[in-house]
Amino acid sequence: MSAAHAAAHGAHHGGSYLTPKGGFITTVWDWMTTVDHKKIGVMYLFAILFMFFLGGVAALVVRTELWTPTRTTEAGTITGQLLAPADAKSVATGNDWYNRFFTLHGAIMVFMVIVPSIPASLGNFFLPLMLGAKDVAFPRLNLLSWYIYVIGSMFAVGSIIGNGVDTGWTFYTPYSTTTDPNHWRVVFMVTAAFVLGFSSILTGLNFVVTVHKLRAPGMGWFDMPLFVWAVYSSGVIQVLATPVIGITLLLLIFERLFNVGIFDPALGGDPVLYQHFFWFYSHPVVYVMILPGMGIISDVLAVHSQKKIFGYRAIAYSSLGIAGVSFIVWGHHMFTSMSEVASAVFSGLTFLVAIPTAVKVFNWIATLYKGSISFTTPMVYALIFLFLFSIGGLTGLPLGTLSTDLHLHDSYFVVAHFHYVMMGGTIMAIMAGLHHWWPKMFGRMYNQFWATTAAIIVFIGFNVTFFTQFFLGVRGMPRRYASFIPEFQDYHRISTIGSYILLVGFLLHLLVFLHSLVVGRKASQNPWGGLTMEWEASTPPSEHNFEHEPLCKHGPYDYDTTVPPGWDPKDYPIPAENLRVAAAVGH
Amino acid sequence: MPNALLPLRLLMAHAAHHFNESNPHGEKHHGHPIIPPITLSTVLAILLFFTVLTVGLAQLEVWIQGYFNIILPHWVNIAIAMSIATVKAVLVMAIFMQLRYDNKMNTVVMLFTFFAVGLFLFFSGLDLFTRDRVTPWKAQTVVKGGTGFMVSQANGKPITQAARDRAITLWGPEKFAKIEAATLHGHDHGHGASDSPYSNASKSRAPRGVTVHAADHAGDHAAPHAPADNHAAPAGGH
Amino acid sequence: MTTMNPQKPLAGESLPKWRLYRPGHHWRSADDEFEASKFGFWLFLATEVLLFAGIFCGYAIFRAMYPEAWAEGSRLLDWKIGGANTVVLLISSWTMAMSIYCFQVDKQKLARQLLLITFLGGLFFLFAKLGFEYMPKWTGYFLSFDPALSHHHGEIDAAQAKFGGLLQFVEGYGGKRPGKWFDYPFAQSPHMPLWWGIYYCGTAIHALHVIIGMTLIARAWYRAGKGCYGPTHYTFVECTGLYWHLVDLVWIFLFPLLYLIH
Repeated sequence: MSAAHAAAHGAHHGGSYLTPKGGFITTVWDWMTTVDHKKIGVMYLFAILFMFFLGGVAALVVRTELWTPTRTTEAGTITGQLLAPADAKSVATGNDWYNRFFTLHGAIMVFMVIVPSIPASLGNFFLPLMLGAKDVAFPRLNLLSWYIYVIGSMFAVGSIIGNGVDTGWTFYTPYSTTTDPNHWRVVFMVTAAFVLGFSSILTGLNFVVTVHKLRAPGMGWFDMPLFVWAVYSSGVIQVLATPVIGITLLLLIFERLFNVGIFDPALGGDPVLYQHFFWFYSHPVVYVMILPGMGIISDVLAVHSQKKIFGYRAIAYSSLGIAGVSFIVWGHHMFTSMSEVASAVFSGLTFLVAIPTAVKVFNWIATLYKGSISFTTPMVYALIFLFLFSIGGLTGLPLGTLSTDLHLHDSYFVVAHFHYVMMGGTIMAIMAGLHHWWPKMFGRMYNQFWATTAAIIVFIGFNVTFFTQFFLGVRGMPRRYASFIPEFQDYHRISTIGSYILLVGFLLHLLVFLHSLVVGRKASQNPWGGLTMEWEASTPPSEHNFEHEPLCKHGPYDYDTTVPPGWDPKDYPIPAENLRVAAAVGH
Repeated sequence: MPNALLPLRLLMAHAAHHFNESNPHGEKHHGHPIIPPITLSTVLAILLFFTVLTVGLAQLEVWIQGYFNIILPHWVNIAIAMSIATVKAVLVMAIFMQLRYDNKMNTVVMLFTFFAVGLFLFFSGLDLFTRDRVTPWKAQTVVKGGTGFMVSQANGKPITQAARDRAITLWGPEKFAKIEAATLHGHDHGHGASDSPYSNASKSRAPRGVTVHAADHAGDHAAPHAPADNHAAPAGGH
Repeated sequence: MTTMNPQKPLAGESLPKWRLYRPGHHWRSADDEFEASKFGFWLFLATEVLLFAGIFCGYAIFRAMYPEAWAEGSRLLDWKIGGANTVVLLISSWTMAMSIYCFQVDKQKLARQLLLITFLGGLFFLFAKLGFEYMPKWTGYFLSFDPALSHHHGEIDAAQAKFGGLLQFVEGYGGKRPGKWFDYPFAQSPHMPLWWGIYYCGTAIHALHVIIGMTLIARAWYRAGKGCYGPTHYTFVECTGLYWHLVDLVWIFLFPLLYLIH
């Protein structure tokens, strides 16, 4: 960042956290050894965006390959022509390449992007600020978790450089114990996921303790912003679920290296047991992915419609409810491999998820009702989230129903469903959050027109890509196949075109952000009129966040009584009867 | 609408007069609980006693089964051992790990953890123990060469059988019989027996009970303690 | 407990390090930091419990599937070694708790001695595990002073002894290995390798935790020598203690499951 940021708020001693500490080497060293949650959050953000780029490239390779229905030999393998080495000139090796790329896409996007994305980047940066704390509870642990993330990602990249793995991101046992017999690629990739689990645990643990112990004076549990509630809930899941993937992957590594035979059917083990182990973590973790996103949406909707959130407690409790229910529904990933009794039980339990989720969605819509909605970029993304996430949630119901799932299992319907939830949910939410907090993080505004245009391009591209996949799935296109019958070609081509529209949208976002960093105009302390505590800090925040320990004097969404920090009360008329109330509590 | 939290806030504003800066939320501090050595030593004595007890009871069960020539159900053994282990664990957590004296939040964390462990065990078991409940064809019996167990790469036999064959080749049959008699002598009585002698192949679990002679179906060598039985059908008559 | 070593700083004497400790800048008080650290550590212990839950779940499922393999396998383990290790771990847990007590009342020297005993307990545990269990079961080689060796006099093959008789070979004892390395000739159940898979995975991961715990104890011992811990600041020793008790806790369950249940 440039030194210009420091000048904006030179009045504060020490300047903003972005102020360079000295020359280039000193500054780099300062960032690499920092225990400041804000810097760690920014480092996470860039690391995650880089992995998002890698995963996105893999996704485009997959979509490009699916442009044509059959894998012919040399001429037809688009993937092979572009990326495979000279030996990828047969159908079989070409298919291997396809398998590696969808595995790469899944593994990177899940373990290295979506799971850490919101908590580790935006959560790290804003959770202490929103609580009025100087830092997270264990700052050094926080830095450690970033380094563990980097080490884990290096293992994954090492596996990719060694030609990648083709097991699918779930590492199901017959694949992960039999493929790649003489190499270390699978071990590397599994080790990557294992190591990344530690990073996730440390982050979640840190946040849980921070929320318990470091709230500002006056901030009770129900005065916390809903983003904090959401990150807290996902922290609880991270702590309770992640160790199980740890032991699973550890046993899988033992399985590969020492042939202990716990999961490998050829050695007397039980592959379905592996699936239980895997999904005991990996189902709760999809709520680690989506809960913080829901938190962002709660905040963004309230701030950008300048209205008190509807049903604060309902949303807060539903976060905890989702966290609780998440632990008893993992079997719905295994309806075709489990016993009928267990499938029926899990199917019934799965529908429980709909309750707290619907509570949230209805409360968000009620929040919008009669709000002063401004169509800022974060708000546009929040509305996109509502639309896409609702489709994603509702298409989950036929997958949770046993009879329909037997048809839809492992088809493109599933692919479309979880992309609507994960990408339409989490990625749209992080885009909303990033645009919401960008001015606070970097002290610069961005061009709202182009950012909103990019958001709309992303929205169109997303739907073109994934809505078609619902049709593909219902008609019987199985996932993870490089070849398909010609009847599916039109759908696949529409989907591929959509993926390139998505690329255009994200590239435009990149340009908007770069433009903002270089020549963006200075952001004010509180550009959107937020009431949560991070807007009381200077922009960008100073090294220790606040000049004095802040006192929590109002709820996070009390728009009916409180003038947002940094705003002129004249611009913000509050009815006289409410102002009295505001005065009574110290305004 | 006036702020619903108003009474709370007024209270807080009032309390701000004697606002304790180092403890703004009025939490009860548990500080540093000091547990006297006599308590710690008593707990150690109890833990050691329970260790002796659990070993003793396990021996007693074996002795009872041998002496009275009866078979105790499996759950007796498990229930006793696990109950004692649980008591010991609770003691360690309550006193050594200070949960009894400490912030209750730590206890809540531990309870949630054990609840999660319980969910994990229960739902994994729910699947694996009910695979044969609705459609019986999912619970077919072992056929020759079925892999409910590891098969040797060298000769396609169960790996246990391959190990036996290797030893016989290495030592010769007489020496093998001698060592086997010496090794197995005094073992294999009473406990571990069961009423259900077949395992099944399309899945990796016996419906219930034991796969006593599963090796026989795939192995061609008759084990001394396990008479050969090459029938593919459930051998219920053992 | 004869060593009483009250350290009352005299005028002009430099204060011990624990008196100079200041909490991190984001904490309101040292007490707050201590409680938060402990709470954080309990959350970490929760992850450890769930890590071992995987082993216990695998054990439970496979035991229900192949009870005869589990019965046979547990008969091949010697409860005397497991029992001795249990007792050692319990006692070392007690010395750990006592050491924390001594730091709380500022008996520095005794506290360090107790830490040392705890460390030695861990060392004994690992030695028994490797020397009396892993090695004979995997290879068939016994340490010559192993009391269990006397049961196998008949089959000792003196010709194969190694290191001047330190390692004695017993024919037909080794080969109890997991998976495809299995080479024990007298297995009755074809699922025996799976039992050894669970046995080795479970005990090895537990042993890894013993090693981690011993590392923490060694660090606590070293830093205690520099006067870093005392009545008002001993967070690291406290967390080390919690970790060591968890190692004990896991063994409290592993011991009956592996050695006693048949």
